[in-house]
Amino acid sequence: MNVFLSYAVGELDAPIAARLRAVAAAYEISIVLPDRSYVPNNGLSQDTNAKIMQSDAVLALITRTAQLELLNVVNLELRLASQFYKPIMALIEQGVPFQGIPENQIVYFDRFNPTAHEESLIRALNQLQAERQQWKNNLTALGWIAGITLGLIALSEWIGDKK
Amino acid sequence: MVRSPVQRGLPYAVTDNTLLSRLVDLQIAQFLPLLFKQILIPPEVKREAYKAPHKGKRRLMKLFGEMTGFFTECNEADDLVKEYLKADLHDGEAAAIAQADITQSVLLIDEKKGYDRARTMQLTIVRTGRLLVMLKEVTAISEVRPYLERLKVLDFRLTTELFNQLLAEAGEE
Repeated sequence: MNVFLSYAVGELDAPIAARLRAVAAAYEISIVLPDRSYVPNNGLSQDTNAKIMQSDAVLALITRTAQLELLNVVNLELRLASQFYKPIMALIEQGVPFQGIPENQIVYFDRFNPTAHEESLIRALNQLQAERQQWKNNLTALGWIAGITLGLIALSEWIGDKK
Repeated sequence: MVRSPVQRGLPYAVTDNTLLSRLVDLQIAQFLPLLFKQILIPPEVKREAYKAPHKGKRRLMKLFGEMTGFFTECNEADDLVKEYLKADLHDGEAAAIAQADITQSVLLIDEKKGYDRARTMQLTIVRTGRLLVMLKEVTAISEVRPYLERLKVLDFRLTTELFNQLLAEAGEE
């Protein structure tokens, strides 16, 4: 399974994408990452287009410390994913204003409260299941990846505090 | 020192100990500067190399001594990525994958489990067989067949299919 991770995070959360990719790879799930070494001025790169097109699902991750220009990139990536009819779930830190996708595909989380996301995660998974009956196995994997991602964010915060 | 993905010239590479020892056995490690700008060695890989059997260890130390600057010890890696990988990979393999990931280098690794993991992580990977073909392409060696034969003697798992495929890639069918 290939999951495209569309992300907009601050500097301290930047390693989360690579960490998620390493964990998911142990379960033969490829986390496909966009090139964030530059921010495109107009539209998405061909490379990003291809990655989204070839992915089985798209997971978005947005934290409070994300730069505005990266939020715009995530918006573009999610719009493209919608056009390709990809299953989408967005993990958005509470307090971030984001209106790129329907509310029932958004999981709001609080890195200091490990249960804050539960209700919206279940709602988002149910929504995906209702839309795609044939997608059951991938749905389990996507839910699992979402949980791991939220765990990594909490861990990142904890490590940051320790430092 | 995280490198830009837009690199000019030869790429950097990170190597695993087993593959490097194999290249030393084949006496072709000295040709690597024709393919790579620098070979990065994670501390875990260096430790494993220095734990190698006496003769292999001496050869590797000699190589590091003769090609200082090309073989460079490098500590770059996300510690958590490395620890996650260590859960079911050897320390050297985990360190090499984590370092190739953060430095956006080519990963030189043969072990199946490490290779499969790195491939799932979409890293650029080169194995010994492919390296031989690349060395022929830059005319460092004239034929890959003798080296493939030697690999068999060294207990390298080389299926007949892969053996023939590499010969075909090298134009030696």
